[in-house]
This record gives sequence, C-alpha cells and structure tokens, in this order.
Amino acid sequence: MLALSDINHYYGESHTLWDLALRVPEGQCTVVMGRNGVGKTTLLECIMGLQPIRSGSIVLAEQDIARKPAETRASDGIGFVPQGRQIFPLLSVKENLQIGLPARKDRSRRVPDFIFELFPVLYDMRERRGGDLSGGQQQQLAIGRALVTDPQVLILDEPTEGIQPNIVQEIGDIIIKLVREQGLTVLLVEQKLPFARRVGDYFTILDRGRNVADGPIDGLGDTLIQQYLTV
Amino acid sequence: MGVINMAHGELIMLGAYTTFIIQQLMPNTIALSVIVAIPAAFIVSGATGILIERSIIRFLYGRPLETLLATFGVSLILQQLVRSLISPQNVPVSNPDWMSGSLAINEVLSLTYNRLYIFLFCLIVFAALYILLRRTTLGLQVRAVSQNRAMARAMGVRSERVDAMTFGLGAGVAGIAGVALSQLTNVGPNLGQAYIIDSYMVVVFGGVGNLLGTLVAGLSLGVANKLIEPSAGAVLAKILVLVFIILFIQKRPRGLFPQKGRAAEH
Repeated sequence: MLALSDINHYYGESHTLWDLALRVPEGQCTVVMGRNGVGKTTLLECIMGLQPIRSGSIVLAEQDIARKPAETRASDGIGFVPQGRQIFPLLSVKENLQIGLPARKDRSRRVPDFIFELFPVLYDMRERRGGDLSGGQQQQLAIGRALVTDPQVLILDEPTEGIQPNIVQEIGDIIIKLVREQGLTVLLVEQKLPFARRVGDYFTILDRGRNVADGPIDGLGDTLIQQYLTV
Repeated sequence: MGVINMAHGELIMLGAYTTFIIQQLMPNTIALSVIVAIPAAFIVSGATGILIERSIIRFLYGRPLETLLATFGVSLILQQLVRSLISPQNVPVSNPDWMSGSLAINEVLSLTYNRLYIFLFCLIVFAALYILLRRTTLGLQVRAVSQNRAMARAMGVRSERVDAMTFGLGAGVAGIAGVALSQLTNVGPNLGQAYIIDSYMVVVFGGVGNLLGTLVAGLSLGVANKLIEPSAGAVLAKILVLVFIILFIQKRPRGLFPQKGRAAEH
C-alpha cells in the first residue's frame, strides 16, 4: 500500500501540488482524474522521484521513500509507465525489457515469460528497435518493461492516450487481470471516464494541485464530473 | 551526454607517460613493459577521467560549450602537471625487440612491425569496446541513459554511476591509445594536442555516438591523408582533408552513418 501525505511541489516559484494526500489501497486500482494542468503527471513524477518535492512523505510498505533518489524506486517496488511511453528508441524491444532486470528482487537474468504471454506482440517484435514500433505496441512495451522489475505498485500515466480502441480495450483487460489475479496495486492517471470506470476501484480528483474528492469509483457521480472534469 | 572533452588528448598523453614510468620501474624487461603498460595506462587514465567527471563535468551535463571551456582548462593543468613533475622535455620510451624491425613484402614495400602490432591492437580494442557496449549490462545501461536519462533512472539505473563509468571507460581507452602512440612518436607534454583535432574530425565524419562510423572514418581519413601526402606535402594534405570534411558535413550533417528509421526522429 502506498500513502502520500502533505506533498508540496514547486516548479520554480509556481506552487504546483498543495498539501496533497493520497492513499492507494493494496491490490486495488486507484484512478487519478482531473483537467489538464492540475498536476496529475507531476504527482506521478514526484512518486517516482523524478521531481523533487519541497515537503511531505511518500510511504511504501511502511517505509518513507520521499528522500531516496529516483533510481532506488524501481527496486523498492514501483513500476512506472510514463506519459508518452518513453521507450528507449534505439534499444531493441528485448533490451528495453532487460534494462529492468537488475531491479528485481530475485536477481533473475531472464525476462519472465508471463510478460510475453500478456503481450505476444512483444515476443514477435523482440529484435526490432523500440523506436520503430507503433504507438500501441510501444504502450504495451512500456507496460511490459515496468512489469519486468516485479513491482508491487504499478503507476500508469494515461496509457490510452492516442491508442486505437481495440488496444485500449486490451490494455484495460490487462490492468484488470493484473489487479484481480496477481494482486498488483495500480495507480492510474486517466482522462477517459468510461475507461476509468471500467478498470478503477477508487478515484481521486485533482484540481489546481489539490486532492478535492476521493472515494470508491461508484461515488464518482454527475455533480463531481460537472464540477471538476467537464471542460 | 552533451560533453566535449578537450582534455581527451591529455588522457592519451598520460597513457604514454605511464608506459615511460613502467619502463623506468622495470628497465631489464622492456619486452614485457609494453604489455604491463596497457592495463596500467587504462587504470591511470581511467581514474583521472573519473576524477575529472566527478569533480567538474557532472555539473555541466547538457552544456557542451561549458564542458569545452572547462576541459580545456583541465588539459592545460594536466600538461603543466607533467612538465612540473616529470620534465618539460620529451622522455625516452624504448621499443621492445619484438616490435622493432619490419616485414619486407618486396624490395620497395616493407611494413614496420610496431605499426602492424598497433593496427592489430586497435582492432582488438575496437572489438572489446563493441562487445562491452552491445553485450554487457553496463553497455545496455550506458545506451539507455544516453537515450532517456529520466526513464533509465525510473527503471532503476544508477545514472550517475553510469556517467562516471562511461567517462572512465572513454578515458581508459585514451590511455591505451597513449601506450600505442608511445611506440610511434615522441612522448612529451604536448603529445595529446596533436591528436585531439584529428579525433574530432574522425568523430564528426563518422557520426557522433557511432562506433562503426568512427572505425570507418578513422581508417579512411588516415589512408586519404597518407595518399595525398607524397604529392602535396603533409600540411596541404591536412588542409585538403579538412576541406573535404567541411564539404561533406554540409551534405550529411550527421556524418557517414546517421541513425535511420522512426527512432531517429526523436
């Protein structure tokens, strides 16, 4: 279980996250929603240590990781699927996956088979360069790459952005499967309401860097949507 | 990495001086000294490189012009250090017996053994470097960090360590080059200066960050230079090669082997 409290973050003088608290229950999928520019991606980057926070704590498995450098988060058990996928363009698909192996607890030297079972396309493409894949294939590679580190918590930043509908469907199925069958904890940033409702168990709404509403996904009613999500 | 290292020539020079010092330490076994000097020079130059990276360059990543100025300063310091500590004069480095002499192919053509050995040695170093970058975990991490630093860190790659190792590796290879050069040329404080410009020409011609391009560019520029030299003289040959490269990069700004495909657009 991942718990954030009193997170404050600044870009220079601009205060982006305000005393933000967030609880991500174990074995459930929590969806972070909100309009553009409210701090969703910044929040995820703070959790990954890629953005420095001014104050606050990030507790993962009863350990505060807020002051530890970014490169320790993967072995602490956080897998990250960033916005825009961020595939290593000149590494092969296989190498993109292998890069996460040293972060595994069991020190395995092989990419686990279940990743190729989840994403058969990655096996077919394993010798191709990551940058030559289509957007949908890159998104699957990004998720596969995060799973190689054997995370307890998987963080995804808009995994459906710019992806064709049947792949979106597939990605949704995979997230649900990972949560229900493997007990993975998922933190998902998502703009698409139907997708959020389908995969999410809990929701959190951000507005101007603050956590303005949260609860079980069934509680995400029309009033909240009107107030914080419609443009 | 966004670093232009003007002190790379001095790392070659340190490698050559390491050969000299090894020979001073083992004067009765000159034949072995060159072999011993290879790992020693790698360690001396590599350690110096890591020191430069940790103390100066790591604060300047992504600012190539500032790294150029700072490392130019480092190169002056290293030259003066050698002048003050060892000697401002050239130092004698002897050739072991097995590298002296020449292989006479016919009456007009004979190849000196030292150059043949060095040619072979270059190929071995090239192959080792290639395997290191392509087949090892460190090589994979080096490539990942150079392509997307933030993502590499999110995957657990200790990017600062990789930076230091990459720089140390480059410096160590320069040190090995110094051992080879000590067998060909005068070893003095200015040794590195003569090679830094040639190195840049090779890198620009071959394409930055491309090992194979560097090999092909190095070989072809060297051969072209030597082919022009007899008729035009050494200075004019250099100028002609430089003019050729300037014209070439107008047409192909990314060098001989640019990155191709979708990935290159990033």
